[in-house]
Amino acid sequence: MATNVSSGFRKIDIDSFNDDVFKEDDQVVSQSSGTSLDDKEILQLCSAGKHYEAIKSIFDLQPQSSGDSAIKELAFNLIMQVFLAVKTGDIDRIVDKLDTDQIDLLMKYVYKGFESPQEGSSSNLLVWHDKIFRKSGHGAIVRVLTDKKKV
Amino acid sequence: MTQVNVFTSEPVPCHSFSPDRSKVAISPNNNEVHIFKKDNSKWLQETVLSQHDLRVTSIDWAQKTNKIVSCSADKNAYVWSLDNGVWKPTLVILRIHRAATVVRWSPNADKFAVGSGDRTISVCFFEEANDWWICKHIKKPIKSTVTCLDWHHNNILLACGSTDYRARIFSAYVKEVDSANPEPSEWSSKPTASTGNLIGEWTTGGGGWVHGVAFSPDGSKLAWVSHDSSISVVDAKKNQAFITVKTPDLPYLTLIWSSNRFIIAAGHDCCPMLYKYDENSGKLECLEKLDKSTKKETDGFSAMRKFRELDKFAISLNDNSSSDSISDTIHQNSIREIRAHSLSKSGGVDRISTVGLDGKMVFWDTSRYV
Repeated sequence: MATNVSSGFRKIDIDSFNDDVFKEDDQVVSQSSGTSLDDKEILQLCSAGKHYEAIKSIFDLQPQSSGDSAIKELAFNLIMQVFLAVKTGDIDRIVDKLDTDQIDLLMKYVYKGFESPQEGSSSNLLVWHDKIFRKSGHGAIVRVLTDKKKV
Repeated sequence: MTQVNVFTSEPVPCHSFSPDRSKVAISPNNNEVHIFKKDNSKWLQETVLSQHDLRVTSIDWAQKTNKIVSCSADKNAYVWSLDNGVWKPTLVILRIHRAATVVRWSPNADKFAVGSGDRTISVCFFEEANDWWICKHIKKPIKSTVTCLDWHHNNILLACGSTDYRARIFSAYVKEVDSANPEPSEWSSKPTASTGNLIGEWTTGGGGWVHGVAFSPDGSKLAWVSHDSSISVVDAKKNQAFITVKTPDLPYLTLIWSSNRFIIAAGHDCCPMLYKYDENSGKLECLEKLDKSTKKETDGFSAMRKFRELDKFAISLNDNSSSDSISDTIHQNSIREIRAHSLSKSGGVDRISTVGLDGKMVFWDTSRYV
């Protein structure tokens, strides 16, 4: 019977024998935005309580489309600082102002934050996750999983 | 009125109706095609077509010629024709090295297209001289598995969706079948008289496999759904401008135009959703859920239901969460395919049917959205 047939053949990557194999990276067009993030300005906005403006000015640079990993890293660190700086009661007000694309991007940073937890950050991120989910439903989570433009 | 039919406890990935709607062919997620015949209000099994070696992935029943085509993970397609009450299979050589994923007859039923994991669409037609179905390949620029297909009503243009995140329109012109000078369509001013000519290519920009494509009845618009929970429409009359709506739902897997304005999409949320496309403003918006059920479905006695659930969902007797495994919707699992069941006089779709992984086939009245 077929019970003794080896399943080793399933691990052979037959696509590597193909010359025009599908590469995920080819599907994403990355562009350098040319401008760099002014982290001092954003931290100033943050300490002045203008958290929405801080998030928006980071998002305006389209860090997810950037091919430069330094910009991505900087944008992530700044967003995390904004996340931690906002009081729980103010989150709704900020989330309400963002459009669908910005919400999706925000959700990506929430998940990225879960990837590398710092002291006390995860409880804060869970609150953000809850508020974003209430506004955008499962769609935003699915788009974090599918989008190839990583943050 | 919605009407629920249960064939099997197995998932039903695909189905197709006979021209007179008295029969339906489904695949119970294995290598067989089951044909059910409607007897008053019940569906009775009539025939089992078992020629494939592996799971049947798609079935299409030609409305003009009463022939069935089925394709499977065994890389083959069969055309079944009724001969003295017996379905006779004819093997179609697709020349592919991966599973066939989807098959669709062209509107005139003189050719059909098969999508596959071999990054290929095989356009097949019948060659009288050899008494044999042969195929031509569309390969470029498809970079990954073809997941869905839909024919334009002109019998030449073919839309496809793929796991390389793109929806495309090709010319599936075959000189052996089509007239020598095909009329230009709204999609292309260039002559479309060559097989595999790429007419257009669109992506929502993120990632997300395209799960379903559909031409509007007038053929001037193409809609598609993809795994980033989005639904998009491209309009040939608007210089092929396209609009994408990112929805708050789980991803849709299938869609259909019930008229030139309304789209019905369904998928992992188990509930068909109605979308409206406004031709003048180019806006696409969600109107409502088709599934209006709010209370938990109660089919049968609670004890019987409990044991059936034990069987179906493999949950244990003292599992208190069992009642939560029943969703509020009629379909209890992902909807995999929507088909038009009956057409209105204006060419719109009066009634649709959906099949899903819960083994149900549900009819939905869409005459209000024509």
